[in-house]
Amino acid sequence: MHRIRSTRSIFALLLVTVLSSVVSAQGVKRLVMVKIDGLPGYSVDEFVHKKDPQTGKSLLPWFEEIFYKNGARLDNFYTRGISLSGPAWGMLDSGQHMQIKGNVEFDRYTLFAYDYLRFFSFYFDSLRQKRADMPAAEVMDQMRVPLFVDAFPYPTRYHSPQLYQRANNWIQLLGSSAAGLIPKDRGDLVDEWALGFQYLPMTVNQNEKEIHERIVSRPELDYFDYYDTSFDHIMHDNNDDKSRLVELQKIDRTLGKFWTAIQKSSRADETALVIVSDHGFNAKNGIYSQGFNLVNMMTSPEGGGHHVETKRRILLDYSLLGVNPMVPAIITPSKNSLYLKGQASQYPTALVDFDGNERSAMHLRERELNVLQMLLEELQQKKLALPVKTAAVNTIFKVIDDRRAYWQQTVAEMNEELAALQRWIDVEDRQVTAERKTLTIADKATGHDKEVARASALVGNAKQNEIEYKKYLSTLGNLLALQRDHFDAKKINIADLIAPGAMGRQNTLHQIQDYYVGIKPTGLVVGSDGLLDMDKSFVSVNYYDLLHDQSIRSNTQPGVKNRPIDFVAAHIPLANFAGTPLAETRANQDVIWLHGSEESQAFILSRVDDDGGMSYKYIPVSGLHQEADGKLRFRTRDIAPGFPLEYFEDPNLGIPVADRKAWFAEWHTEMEWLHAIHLTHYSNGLIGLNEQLIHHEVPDTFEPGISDDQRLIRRYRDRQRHLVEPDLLILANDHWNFDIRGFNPGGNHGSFFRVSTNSTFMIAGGAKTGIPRGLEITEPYDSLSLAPTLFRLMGKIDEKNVPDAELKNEGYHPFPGRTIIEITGDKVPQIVHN
Amino acid sequence: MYLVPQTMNRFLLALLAVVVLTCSAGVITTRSQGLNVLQSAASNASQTASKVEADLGPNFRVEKVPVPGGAEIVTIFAKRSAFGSGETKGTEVPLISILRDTLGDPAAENDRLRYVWMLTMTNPTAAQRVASFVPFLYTRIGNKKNAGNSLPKAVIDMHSPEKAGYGKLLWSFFRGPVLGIISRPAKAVLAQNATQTGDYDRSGVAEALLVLSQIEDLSGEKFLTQQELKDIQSRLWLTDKSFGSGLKAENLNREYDRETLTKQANRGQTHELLRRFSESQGLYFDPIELPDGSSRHAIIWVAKEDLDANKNRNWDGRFLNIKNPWRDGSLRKWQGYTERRWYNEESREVPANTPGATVKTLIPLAVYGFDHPKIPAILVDFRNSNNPAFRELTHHLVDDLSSDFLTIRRSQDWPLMFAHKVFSFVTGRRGMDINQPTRVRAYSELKMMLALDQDLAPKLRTEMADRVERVALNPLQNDLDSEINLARAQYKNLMAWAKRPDGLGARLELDRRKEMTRIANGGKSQFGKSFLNLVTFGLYKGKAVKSTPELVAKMDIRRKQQFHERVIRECAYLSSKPEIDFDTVKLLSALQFMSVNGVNAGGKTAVSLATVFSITDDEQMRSLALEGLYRINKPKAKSSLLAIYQDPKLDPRWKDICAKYLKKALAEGQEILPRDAAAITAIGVN
Repeated sequence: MHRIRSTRSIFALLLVTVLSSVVSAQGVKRLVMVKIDGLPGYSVDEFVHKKDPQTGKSLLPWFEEIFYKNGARLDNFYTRGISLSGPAWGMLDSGQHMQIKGNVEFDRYTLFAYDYLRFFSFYFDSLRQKRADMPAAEVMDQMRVPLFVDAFPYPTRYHSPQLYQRANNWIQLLGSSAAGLIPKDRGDLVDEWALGFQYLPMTVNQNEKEIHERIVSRPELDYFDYYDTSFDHIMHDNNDDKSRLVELQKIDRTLGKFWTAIQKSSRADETALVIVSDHGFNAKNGIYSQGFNLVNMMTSPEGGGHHVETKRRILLDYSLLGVNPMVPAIITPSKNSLYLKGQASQYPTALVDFDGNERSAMHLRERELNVLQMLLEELQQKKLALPVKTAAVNTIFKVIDDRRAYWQQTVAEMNEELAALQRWIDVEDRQVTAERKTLTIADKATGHDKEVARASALVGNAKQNEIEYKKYLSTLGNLLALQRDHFDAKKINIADLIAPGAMGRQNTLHQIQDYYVGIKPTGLVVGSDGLLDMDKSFVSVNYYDLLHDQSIRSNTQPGVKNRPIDFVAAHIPLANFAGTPLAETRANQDVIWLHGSEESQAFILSRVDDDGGMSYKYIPVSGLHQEADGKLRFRTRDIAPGFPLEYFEDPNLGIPVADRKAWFAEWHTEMEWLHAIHLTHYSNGLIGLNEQLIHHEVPDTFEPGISDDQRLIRRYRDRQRHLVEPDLLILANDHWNFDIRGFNPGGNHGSFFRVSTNSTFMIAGGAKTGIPRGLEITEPYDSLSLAPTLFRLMGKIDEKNVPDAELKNEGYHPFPGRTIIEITGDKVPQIVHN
Repeated sequence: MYLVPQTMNRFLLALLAVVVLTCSAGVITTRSQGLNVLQSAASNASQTASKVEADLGPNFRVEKVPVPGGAEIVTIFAKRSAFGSGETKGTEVPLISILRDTLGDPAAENDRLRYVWMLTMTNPTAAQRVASFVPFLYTRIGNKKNAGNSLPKAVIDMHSPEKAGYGKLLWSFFRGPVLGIISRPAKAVLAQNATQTGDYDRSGVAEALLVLSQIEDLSGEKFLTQQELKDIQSRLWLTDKSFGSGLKAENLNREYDRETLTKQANRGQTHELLRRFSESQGLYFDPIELPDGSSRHAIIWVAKEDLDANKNRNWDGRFLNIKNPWRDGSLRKWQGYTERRWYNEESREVPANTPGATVKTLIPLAVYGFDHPKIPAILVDFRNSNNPAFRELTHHLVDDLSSDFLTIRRSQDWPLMFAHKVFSFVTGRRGMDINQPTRVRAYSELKMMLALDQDLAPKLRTEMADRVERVALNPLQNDLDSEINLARAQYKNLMAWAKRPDGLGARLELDRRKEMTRIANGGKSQFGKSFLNLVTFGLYKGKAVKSTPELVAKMDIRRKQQFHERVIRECAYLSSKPEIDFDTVKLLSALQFMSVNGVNAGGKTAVSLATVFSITDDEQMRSLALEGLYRINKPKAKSSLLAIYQDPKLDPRWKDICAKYLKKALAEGQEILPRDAAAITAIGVN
């Protein structure tokens, strides 16, 4: 009897414990998210602690009241990867690893530009019901990665215009915004005129107004998100504390409005207010951020005379065509091209994305496509001596033969994938057409009309991609079909073999170190093997050296280096390390290589551990070169100051100076690294570089037994993500940027500097939410922690980050990030899963 | 033959207008009223014993001098090892004086800032004045050598800034429809004067803003509050905006924030554009720092050693707007100013003869201003002084030729208006440095910068100053040394005038009487009087009431009311809950005032009080807000009170208070809308 009672007591106690933890973790039923682009956590903290000398109150009184006194805040919340909006919001909004890796991405085979900031054309398409979502949301759909907002049914959410935007009634918003320009007091009309009506932020102001009202008046809404880019825009222009404070105080007032509305609402107890930002900002009072023009460098003779494509117009505000809001692709032709003069529109050979501006992603056309095109032109246009001609033809076929297997595989696989895609298109197209015809007014209320538009857009994108890929594949087919015996260059239309507007396969390290940009003035030279002597025949550029060597003449600002480029990062397939000392390490992912200079380089090795967590090792090296056969040569160096990321010498490294050499000699888990490095100048850059440059496959969990077509389409989507990976990720030195659309003298982001990666995450909630009050969290977390923490607070995932049945049904996968246990109240820190 | 008499008549009419305008010069332009009359000032300007002063860092000094009758003048001085040369040499120069009318008591609520005098600005000499009327005369004709007894020009009257706005409006009406019909030559003459005077005034505003910006962020006693400094700057910025002069006080901080952000952004962008383009062309970029560490100008240099190496270098002069230096033979035999500078491997300038450093002989090519939106404005071209002058001239020529000489009115000529829009669009988008109306500001700032600078080599500074003067196109302007001289002399005159019984004190008394007149008239006839004053070119002055203790008391109350209204309106605009995010001491004081003395407060204040009631949980504030709504005798006040009463969620306690006030107001016969009166009557029934 006693034993039974005792067992019952223990069982009851356990039940109470479990229930209490569940209750505390399931208290958030309503969320108000304030998303601020580019808001650094340290800026908020600095001004919260400054007092208005007149009132004695904080300069940011609502931040203090809501999050410092009544909520929880993270001192060390970081973006994971580059500090750039497209990728950073992607991780925050999905809770999954980075799929979108820039604000703009180019498909190497088709030059299709994924422009994730393409607001205007989205609105235009949305008006015509051709599109429901912003491009970034569409890509996430293609990758089957649901967004946080998707957890809330359409009628229960208020979703502002943003990068990962779902359906939004912008016409209505615009109308209300315009009406909102007229002040309540008519006597203020002249004043508003004199002050200049605020046209640019009018929709944001309207969002603020609507959210403020609806928090109280629409209790059925469970989710609000407010998105504001004003802080980011101002900080790009202005570097002074005064400007920063003006913008911070605007945000503070917005928080005040939302918080007071929440308190007045009937759901105050179960509502949480969250402020989150995607990245920080490298803006320092008194220092102008200096711009460096990579496009000019690439079009110059030293840069190879490339025709360069960008998705941003250079000097936009100074261009007559800059008024075109559709943001077409821009090609900057080079007068210095050695073999493509006048062919800029057909054959851009470099793609530059410089958004964020402390970094730039660059694609170069596959070097061997340059060789083929140069040789075909030589054979067509010049009367070459027979030995030279023969060597040129031999070289063409050598190039083709070297790539034959890869091209054949590409053509075969992609044809399979495109056939599956076509079948999917046929089904979806019919369904969309049928559903369009039956749409009712009720469908608008439930958002079903948006689902139809969404499906229609995905079909449209697929059709466009299919056509373009087929064009590219046809050139590969033509190349593969060439026969040595019947080869006559003069009968060939070059465009049939070298696809216009295509970059081809990603270049290897060797190709970029010895990149052919033209034929030498001395002409083609025959080698001893009957092929062309490539070194003697072609002008080549080593882009790593070229980038390192850039410098300026007038260096007038203290603390700013005269070299715009800090380092260049690239990933090298692990297989290339066979036969090197690194092959003995336990790395099981591609290696990240950082090139600061010939002497200052580093490898970041990574591996997925048996428990699913990540481990890394940093190895200083110098002189990395890759031979034509793929072999790598480099010298391993002892850890010392001066290597990329500068962790070793950083006074804020969380490892005692005496222990550092030993520490760097070992592998460490991601948590060990994060704790050691997050306060340094480059902060979590080592983890971020890995996140940025390693390919992340979407797990197929919960979907066993998918059809062959589905598997092929998933492979195709995965391929598309591979195809947008650039050759070079270029990182700017401190207070340098690569913006050429205009000038960003105030500050920039995009780098791995702590100033740029330290972002904001604060949360506060009503009595039933279980959110702690007055809690300052010093433990470092990153972008991947936001979604699981919020879902955990809502009771929608378990302690292992596995979604509940409802979320699973919506397509959510387990979340790889750590939930913030200080907020959720969970006891056991989690492992970061890959 | 027929046309001659008609033309003659028109000309005579126009001449008459010229005479009237000349007599009242300054009325039709944007300058503020009065204080342009020559005063016979005592030569001894020794200051009173109660003067207080304070150093503001190494570059500025501020002093406060009491004025008989209850006011004080705050003056900002610039300090330097040496100012000017010859007669003008000295260690400091007064730059701005500001009059604060305190009504002779220590209370800050009834203080009013009045005149802001830019001491370097003066009334023109007769020759300068005549020259300012001559069409197409775009040149300086000499300096005002002797200030005599003249007083500085006020760049703004902070108490009545709207007057300048009325003047602008009247002039734009007079210039087009009226003057154009009377006579073309007269229009050209008068327009020329208006333009030159307007530009001169703008240059004064620019100089004043530069000085204020330099002291704003300095710590130390300034004798001006931060809010006052912000207000002055905002009002000065607004002088250049249509309808800006009448901006309500509660909106001044918004204007300040917007302008601060915009101007800072413009400067940064232009700074970076110039740096990037000069760098790309192989030149040396060298920003000139102001005392606060910021820069608004830069010098572009070329290294003599680079000339031969770059003789075949391509030149892209876009944005730089100077001749290709690589193919300019004159630079190879340059006899002008040069500097030898040493650069280390970081491309940073280092002390002479630093080991390992490379020496360069730099030749200055040009000086640019950053204040233009989008483009650096060339202000000095060391090889061609006419270059900036021509660009400056284009602005005047385009406007003067089209609107005044050819009397083309764009508003009536659609093709021309379209062509003008296209021209403006193209030049604007391409960033062409022509037709820039803001160049005047850049010049004035450069002159002031040269006055304040302590770092430039004296020879370079002199050369820059000389070249700037050569570009000056306004006959009303004086050169830098003359301005320094004038500033000192006019400061002395101002101080002497301030001490005289019939001087500043009398002027202040007259201004107060005008203020009392407005109070006595309930503020209703003031617009009409101002209008009459303007259309008669200042001949109609209206009659100011006599000062009585009762009116003085009313004026005191009115000033305090305006002060507190601003607080309440700002709170309603900015706050979500005053206890958290507003100055509650200030707000409580304002609410208390309104609850006792708010009878004449405006309808917007009433609405703001209702907002304050709705956003605060503080019992005292809520009570006072309701009491204020009762006290304000405006229909909006009772409408707002009634709306609060009718809120179904309102606590019955507050409902009772609202009902009590509403019924009381109705019984007292306060101004109430008929429908509100009916509703209030119904409260009684219930």
